[in-house]
Order: sequence, then C-alpha cells, then structure tokens
Amino acid sequence: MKVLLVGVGGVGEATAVMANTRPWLEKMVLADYRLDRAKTVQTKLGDSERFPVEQLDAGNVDHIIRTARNHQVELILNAVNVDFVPPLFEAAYQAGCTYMDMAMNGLGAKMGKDEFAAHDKWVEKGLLAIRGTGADPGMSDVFARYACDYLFDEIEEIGVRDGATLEIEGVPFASTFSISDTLEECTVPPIVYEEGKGIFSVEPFSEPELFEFPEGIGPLECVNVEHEEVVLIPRWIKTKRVTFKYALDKDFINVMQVLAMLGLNSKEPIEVKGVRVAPADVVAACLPAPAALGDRMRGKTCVGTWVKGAKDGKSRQVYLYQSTDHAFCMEKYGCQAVSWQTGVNPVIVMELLAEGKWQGRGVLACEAFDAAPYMAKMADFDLPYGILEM
Amino acid sequence: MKVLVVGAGGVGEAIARMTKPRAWVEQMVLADYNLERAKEVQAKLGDDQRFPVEFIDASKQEMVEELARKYGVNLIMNAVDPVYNEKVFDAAFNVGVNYMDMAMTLSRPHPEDPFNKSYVKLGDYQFEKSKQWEERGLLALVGLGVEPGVADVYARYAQDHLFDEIDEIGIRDGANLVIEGYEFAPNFSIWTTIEECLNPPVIWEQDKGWFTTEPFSEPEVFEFPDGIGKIEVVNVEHEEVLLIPRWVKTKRVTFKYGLGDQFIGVLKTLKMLGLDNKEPINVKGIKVAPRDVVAACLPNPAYLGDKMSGKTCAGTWVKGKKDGKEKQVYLYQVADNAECMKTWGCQAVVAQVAFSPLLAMDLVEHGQWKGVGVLGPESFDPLPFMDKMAEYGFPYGIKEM
Repeated sequence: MKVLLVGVGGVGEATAVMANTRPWLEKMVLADYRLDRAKTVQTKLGDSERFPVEQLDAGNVDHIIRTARNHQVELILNAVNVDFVPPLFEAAYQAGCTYMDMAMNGLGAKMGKDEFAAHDKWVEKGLLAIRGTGADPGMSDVFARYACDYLFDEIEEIGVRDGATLEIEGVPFASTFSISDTLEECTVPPIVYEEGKGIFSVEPFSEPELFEFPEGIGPLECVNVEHEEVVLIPRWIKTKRVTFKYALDKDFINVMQVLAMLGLNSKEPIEVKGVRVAPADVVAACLPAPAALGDRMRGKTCVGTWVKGAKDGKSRQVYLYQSTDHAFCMEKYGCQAVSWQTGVNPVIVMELLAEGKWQGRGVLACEAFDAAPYMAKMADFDLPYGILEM
Repeated sequence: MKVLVVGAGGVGEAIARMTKPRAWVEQMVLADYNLERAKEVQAKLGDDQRFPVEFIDASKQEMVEELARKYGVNLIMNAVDPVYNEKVFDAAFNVGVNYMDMAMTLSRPHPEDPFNKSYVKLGDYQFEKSKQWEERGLLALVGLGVEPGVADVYARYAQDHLFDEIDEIGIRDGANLVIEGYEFAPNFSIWTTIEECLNPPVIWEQDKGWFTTEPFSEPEVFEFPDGIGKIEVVNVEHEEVLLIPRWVKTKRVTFKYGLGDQFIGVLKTLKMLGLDNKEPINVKGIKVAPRDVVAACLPNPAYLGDKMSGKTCAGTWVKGKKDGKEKQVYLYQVADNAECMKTWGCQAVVAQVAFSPLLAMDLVEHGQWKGVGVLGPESFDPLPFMDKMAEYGFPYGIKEM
C-alpha cells in the first residue's frame, strides 16, 4: 500500500513509526507544511526511500492532488487539524484515493455533514472514505460497535469517557494534544444524542460526573465536550443516548474559558499591527508542541466506551477501554502517549483494508465495519484493550 | 505653545478634546501609527489647521524628531505604550524641546531574584539622563497622568501642607465601572495593564530602598469614597513608588490597585501561557508579539465609553503626624463616566488620565511651574496644580481617615 500522510506532528509521527513495522506498507509520503519537521521524523525512521518527505500546503487542493499522483498513492491519511478536511477530502476524491482522517470538521450536529452528503458520489466512483479513525473518535467507535454486536441485546446509553493521569514536568501549562483542536472542542457547545430528540447542544463543561478509570488511573471528574462519536455512533448503532465526556481538571477548564472569553480561541485571522494572524495559532505557538513533550511526561491515558443496556434479559454495564502508559511508548516507540494512542489506530485500519477484512464504498466511519477483526489486532499493535463489567 | 502628541488612542484623544477650548495651545499635532485613528479624532475636533494629523512609528526615533522639527513644536507629549518611551524621550532631547509622559521607561526584573530584588527600575533610563537635560536647559516632566501624576502632586501637598512627619504613602486605585455587553473588557490599554500587573510590584522603604514582591501580593480591603465602597486592592508595579521617595520624605511607599478576581485570573492565565510576551514570536512564518494579539482581540478602550457606567477613583493615602497627633488622610479624584462622556465624549479612565498633562502644560506655559532636568510631578509646588483641578473639571477631594 502507498500512503500520503498529510501532517507529521505528534500523531503523524506515531502513525509513521507504527506503519514502519508493517510489511504491507510499500511507501508512506511524509508531507508537512514544515519540511524540517518531516525530515526530523524521516531521520528517526531511517528509511528515506520508503518514507519520502514533501513540503505540502494542506489547504491547496491542486498541490495535494499533484503530490498524491507523483507518488502514485492509493490512500490519503489526514493527520493535520480539522480545518483542512475539506481540501484533503476533495483532493482524495479527485485523485481517486481512499480517504481517512482522525477528526471531523463542522460545528455540533453539523460535524461531518458536508462529507456525508457526498456519500453517493463516492459510492458511484467506487471510492471509500473513513472518518474518525484515531483513538477517540475511532477506537471508541469500534468499541461501541463491538458492544452492539457481541455484548448486548439492547443498548440504552453509550458514553465515551476519556481520562488521563499524565503530568508534564517543568512547564506551567501544556496541552498533550493539538491545542488548536483542543481549544475548538472545549470552547464550542458540547453535543448529546437522544433518541427522539436527535443531536442537541448543552453548556460547555456541563454535567460533571466522577468516572472511575481502570489501570490505576482512578476516579476523575469528566465533563461534556463536543466530540465526533456523538454524531457517528447513532448513524450505525441503535441506542437511546450518546455522550462524550472528557476528564479535564479545573485549571485546564479555566484556561479554556479565559481564552474563549478573550477571543483568543478564534481561528479567524485578525489584524495585529500590520500583520494578519489567527489568535488560536498564536496560542499554539506560545505553548510547547505536543510532539516535543515526550521526555517530560509521565503517567497513563485511557480512552474507552461505557455501554449500558441489557443482555439475556438482564441489565448490564461494561467499559471497553484502551490504556496507554507513557513510559512504555516513549521507550519502545519514542512517542508520547496521547499522540501514540491516536496515531496507531489508522495503521490498524489500513492493515484491515490491505488484508481485505474491511471493505466498503462511500463515506463511512469505524462503526460501519465489523469490530472483531480490529480488536483482534489491537494487542499485536501494542494497543491491548480491556473490558470491565461495571 | 505647539505640541506633538505621539499616540492618538483613548488618552491622546481626551488630551486633544480638552485642549480645544484652551487658546494658549497654538497647535497640537496628532500623530499615530494608525493614521485613520488620528483622522477620526481630528474629525471630532473640527479644526484641521490647529490639529493636524501625521503617521508616526514611535519605535523610530528619527521619525519622531522629524515631525517635531517639521512643526517646530515646543513640547513632545508622549501618549503611546511605554515600550516606546526611550525613543520618544531621546527624540525630544535631540530636537531640544521639552518632554512629558504619563508612564515611565520600563523595568526589567532581577534575573536571579525577581520577587525580592529590584533591578532595572521604572524610569531608570530617564533619570540617568537628568544631568544632560539640565545642562541643555530642557525639562522632561515624567509620570504626569493621574497615576502617576495627580497622585504624586497629592503626596507633595500632604508633606507641604498637611503633615509634620509622614510614615507611609500608599497610592490606592479602585473603580466600580461596569462595561455592558462584554464579559471581559479592560477600561485601559491592555498592553500597559499586562506590563504593570505582571511585573514584580515594587515597594520603597527608608531602610531597604526599593525592593520587589510577588505579583498581586498583600491584598487589603480599601474603602473608596463617593459611593464606590470597599474593594480589595493588591500590590502592582507603578511609577509613584519610584517617584515619591525622590522628593517627599516618608518611611514607606506602596501602590495598590483594585483589580478584581476575574481580572487577576485572566492575567495569571495569560502569563502561564506566555501570552503576555511582548517580544515577537514566529507564528506560521509571521512574526508577532503575543501581547499585541491579546490587545487586538479585546475591544479598544477608546470606544467603550458609551457602554460603561460607574466611577473610578485615584488617590493617595497618607499616614503620619501633625501637631504631635496621628493623622491619616486620603486625597483623591473621582471621575464619573456619565459625566466625562457628557462633557468630553471620552470615557472616565482615559479622561481622568488626560486632564493632568494638559494642566501641567498650562502651568509650564504660564511660568507657574519652572524647572530643568528630568523631574517628577512632586518636585513642583502642588498648590497651583490643585487650584486648577476643579476648573479643568476634575476637582480633588480630601478625606480624614
């Protein structure tokens, strides 16, 4: 398989590192706006033939198509921030490539709407797009599908819960994930799905709940955050309610609120002393890059799907999860835990596509496919899952 | 008198508006980096001849000098962010004209012990050049707004007329201003507010000299007059602490500001994230200072007047002895936003800052204040200044405590 990886930040690097261990991967083009960054990752991989680098403007459809054609890739994996979904999605369609990403664009209930609207077009052209193939969304959606097919007769509620004990030494504030995406998801109204009501928005950071995370992480307060699963899961899985809650500590919430109050979360460029710049980009530039935090981090991160329903006439609750230890992925793969836990998942998806275990046409997401072969591969990718009866 | 005003922001506009009825100001050049802004102020004044506009980049000293020469001004009035003070100050010296500002050259925290020791202090750059100014027979009147400025005049007045002996002089600033329709909007230049609030606050004591503390330290509840009431105030770095001990005999000088929890929270967050940084950083290939971005995101305080309501109070709390008895007074000035809007078309905070440099120009022009070198407001006789405050629309108050 030949792949064009667009964006070689923390997540893109993890994807490339894992893909490097897979024999089916013929070539993965490392494309980034900053060529230096792509070269750094290339050096780490130590195989410049299999991992060529390209300078790429992910906002330029023609440039993406040209790069895809030059390298004769069959798949474009989007690992840049969500603003670039429309050009990358369009370029994949025009270049006749499979498209995959790890986050969806669009506000609230409209998340992913434009791309899903192109479903028939993609089916006609015999092409496949899989939205949201990271950890959450992605693995969390696979868990939801698995619960639906194998663990429950009937599902009442599906709640994705994401929490971590990660600590970063020596910096007063850092985001372990793209601050631009974090700002976006934490400062727009969260969404909830309910049968009959559809998708509706609620207050930011609302409905705090104490969730007990496994693997020694322990109880953490989780709050509603806007996330893709709330849109994706009800499209394929029958349930009465879907939520997404993220364990955010009070200091982090305060930072997000202050930035939103001052308008510093805005992605629209403003005029500052003669130059035009987006405040959110300035915030990102002030903070350490998530990819560079590896050496100073410690702890574990956990992503999982809490399913409530009934099996054989009895009510049942399970939490399907994946927990990654930072020290482990730093030592074995040289990647920080959050980026790594996200970046490995699209490699599993690509392997399932390469082996023909996942097949499809049109614009789909992970819960549209059989979860069993995915989960069977997780341990082999050093991404073992756990199932906890609750 | 001909004046070059560098900076036509909220304060610059208010100075110009108050100048309009004062015929002894022959010409006032309004120079700004944003020429449109200068033109907008000019249009409100309705006298293009007397108030010409010019583009200026205050970071370019030769440009300031050029404009001063072009118009043959007698005084350069600095009304931009204090980051440009050195250039504007030196430009006045080179051209050979008097200089005034409302904030002094910036401090630099001690590299090893920022929250205990002072290092480069506010105004150091300017005071080091006092001798040269004196020799050339020029006057640089520094720190003459309301705070610093009126607050310093009060300190001198207390020494000359109210006390035999002074133990402590504490500037206390508080307001009950509300800005409608904004969750967060500073009523003064956010650039300057970040600078003064996040720098280590400075305190002066007779035995210790100048030293610093942690930002927002020593909170105290102060009761402000005219219905403003009790407000928690905290230590903030401010010019009065540098100015007053040079001319007024006392044992201790502090400055405390009623910032409010929300404001302090915002400032702490900006600092933690590095968004207070005034140095340009690289953002996707563009060089920009994060602090300028914060300022650009927030509403311009010059345009908030009609959405504001309430009062702001600036004053000087003096503790000491008179006729062998303990005495405490608070000398203050309270500006009401509705009144300032009605009279000047300017919001209270900028109007209150703006009247004092104009009043000082009046005293210098008419020979009531004379001096050469780099001087603070407390080096002059406070009486003529305080006598004129009511006439300028900003009367003083004195409260025994």
